[in-house]
Amino acid sequence: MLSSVTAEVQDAILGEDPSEGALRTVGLSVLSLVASLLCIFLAPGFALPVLAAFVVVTAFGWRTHQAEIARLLTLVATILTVLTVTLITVYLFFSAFPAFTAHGIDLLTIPILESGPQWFFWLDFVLPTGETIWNPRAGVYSLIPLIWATVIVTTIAGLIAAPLGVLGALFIAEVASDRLREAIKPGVEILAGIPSIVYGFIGFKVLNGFIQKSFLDDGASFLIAGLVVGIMALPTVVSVSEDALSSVPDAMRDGSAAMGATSWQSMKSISVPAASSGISAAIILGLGRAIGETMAVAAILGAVVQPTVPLFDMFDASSTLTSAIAHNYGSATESTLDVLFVAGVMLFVIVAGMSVISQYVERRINRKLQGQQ
Amino acid sequence: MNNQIGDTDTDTDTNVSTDTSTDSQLGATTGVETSTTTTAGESEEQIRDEWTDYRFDSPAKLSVEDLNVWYGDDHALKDVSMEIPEESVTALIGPSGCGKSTYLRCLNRMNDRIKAARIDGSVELDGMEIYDPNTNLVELRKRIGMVFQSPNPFPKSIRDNISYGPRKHGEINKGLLARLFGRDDSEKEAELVERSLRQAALWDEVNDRLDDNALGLSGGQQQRLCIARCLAVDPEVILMDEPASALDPIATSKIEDLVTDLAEDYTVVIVTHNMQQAARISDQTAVFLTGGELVEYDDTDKIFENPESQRVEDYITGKFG
Ligand SMILES: Nc1ncnc2c1ncn2[C@@H]1O[C@H](COP(=O)(O)OP(=O)(O)OP(=O)(O)O)[C@@H](O)[C@H]1O
Ligand SMILES: [Mg+2]
Repeated sequence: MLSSVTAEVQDAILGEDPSEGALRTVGLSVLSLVASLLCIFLAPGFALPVLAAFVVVTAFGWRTHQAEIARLLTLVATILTVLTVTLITVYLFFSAFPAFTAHGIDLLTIPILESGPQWFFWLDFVLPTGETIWNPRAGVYSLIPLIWATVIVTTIAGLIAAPLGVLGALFIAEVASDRLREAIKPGVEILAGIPSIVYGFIGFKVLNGFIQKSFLDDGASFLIAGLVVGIMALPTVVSVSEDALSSVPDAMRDGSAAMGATSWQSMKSISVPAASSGISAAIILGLGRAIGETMAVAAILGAVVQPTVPLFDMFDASSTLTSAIAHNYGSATESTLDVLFVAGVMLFVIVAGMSVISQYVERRINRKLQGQQ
Repeated sequence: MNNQIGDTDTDTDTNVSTDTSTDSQLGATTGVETSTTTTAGESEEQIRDEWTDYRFDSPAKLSVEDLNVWYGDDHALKDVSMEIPEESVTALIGPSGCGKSTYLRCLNRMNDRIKAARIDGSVELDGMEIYDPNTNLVELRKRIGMVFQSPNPFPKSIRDNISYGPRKHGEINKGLLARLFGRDDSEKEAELVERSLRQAALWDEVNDRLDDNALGLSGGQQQRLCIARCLAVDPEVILMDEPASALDPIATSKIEDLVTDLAEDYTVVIVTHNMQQAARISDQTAVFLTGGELVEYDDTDKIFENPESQRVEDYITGKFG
């Protein structure tokens, strides 16, 4: 098994029958790289000189055996990336483990209100219930309010970003003139790149003030956070759906127009269905952004962890999974930190799950569109 | 009307090479009636009006007068006038880039969808001007159907491809409302699908898989599906732009038979690069030559056996083009 892998890697880098020189150069380069990696862990003092040796060897190899060295470098880059991500994941799960063993199912404690345990989708039959849900000093942590806050904020954001994003993409791809599109498309992409704290701050200052004045609410609510996050996810949804729509072949639109369909009918019955896999990917990507959004949410919702009462109250506020981490990691005790790692694991699982779902949806729709040969 | 963006002509790539030659000739070309544009191998001659003055007894289905098309500064079609008789096959032939597709697209106003195109002149369908600003494009394209050079079925089931047009025109209702009010047209749809597919000689091959995706069909089947789709809206005129160019000889001959059959009820205008095909299936042939001019238009037999123009003869016998 291992030997076949090495053989394959060797084949990929060196080709069928490598020359003596290539073998030596690549071998030396690999050796020095491995040595420098080992040094980082075992003898950090020597790491820099050995790394320099690797750079020199590789630079010389580049001049004599460029193709082989280039292939080696691409392989090294890939391995480093995969390794880093894997290690981070492992570390995350490892760090969350103590909290899992210490609290177990209590991490999902459902709050007890005056009228009894809070209705939470009948889950109080399986999950524990408790008076306090978040009290680091007493060592009581329930992630239920955080999860629920994340769900609410993401839902509001999705309700904003999905329809507006798809309609915006339709306008850019199908309705706008060439000139207009050339102006809007880059604009939207710039919006997608604005740092999220800017949105969070604007949301906090402008929307909060507006809601406080107009609705006599005390502000800082899920609604505002959801609005702001939805607007942040909007450019991503627009830009990815627009790409999907403009990759629908014009021949199909021509075909539809030649049948006497109006441009709205072509849009509705040809372009959107044909681009549906890309559009759903765009929405899921946007939702993923909304879930993972930290800074804006943290700025708006504050650090309180409390149950939402009543459950669907958009004007209530509580930290989400992400903003709880952002608020607490600096000042938390050891045991709180462990719980925050559990929140991290949950986010990881949710976002990974969404990405799997999006790929599944995309593949399914594509298969449907291309016919089952 | 149409806000569609981008180049909608699928043939454009193939015409790029001829673009420059057309451009360079523009400077030299001044008169329109007596143009002397040539490409290498073409002999010079003056086009005479009577060469394109084809007379027939039946009423004209389409009559085109002084049609000019520009793409930006590129004068792609020059003063074309021709009358197309009812219930017949008219072939358009000519070297690549001479404006055949452009001409064809003018007949159902598909050129409106090309931003760069400017059209001047008149096209009448049964005496009604189609370039009138009040023309209803939906109605027009219902009456004049089009089959494209490369098959472009919709990514839907075979059945939905056929019923697409009638459904968009409100002739078939299968929506929720229709079902609620007991006006579901499924039966009507099934009938229409079968009739159209039979007409396009595709029924026997696909009748057991009408719900399969149309993109799973072979190229030849896709093209016949596009023809069936076009027939489903029951047009009067069918425009075909090299419908067999991407197909093998067997599929091609099926399409040719189909075209001949269609001519009994429909007016067919077909662009082709294949002279034998034009000679086999058409009743009259129009020859366009480089520069976007209609050089000769007459009975197919006359064009292929005894053309008036030396250039047409050279083209048909394969001396250039
Ligand atoms: N969408 C377009 N934009 C700009 N110029 C165009 C466009 N379509 C066609 N042209 C130009 O118009 C001229 C005629 O093109 P057309 O496609 O009508 O030729 P054709 O006779 O159909 O050629 P072929 O036999 O290769 O299909 C060419 O010079 C071409 O470059
Ligand atoms: Mg063409």
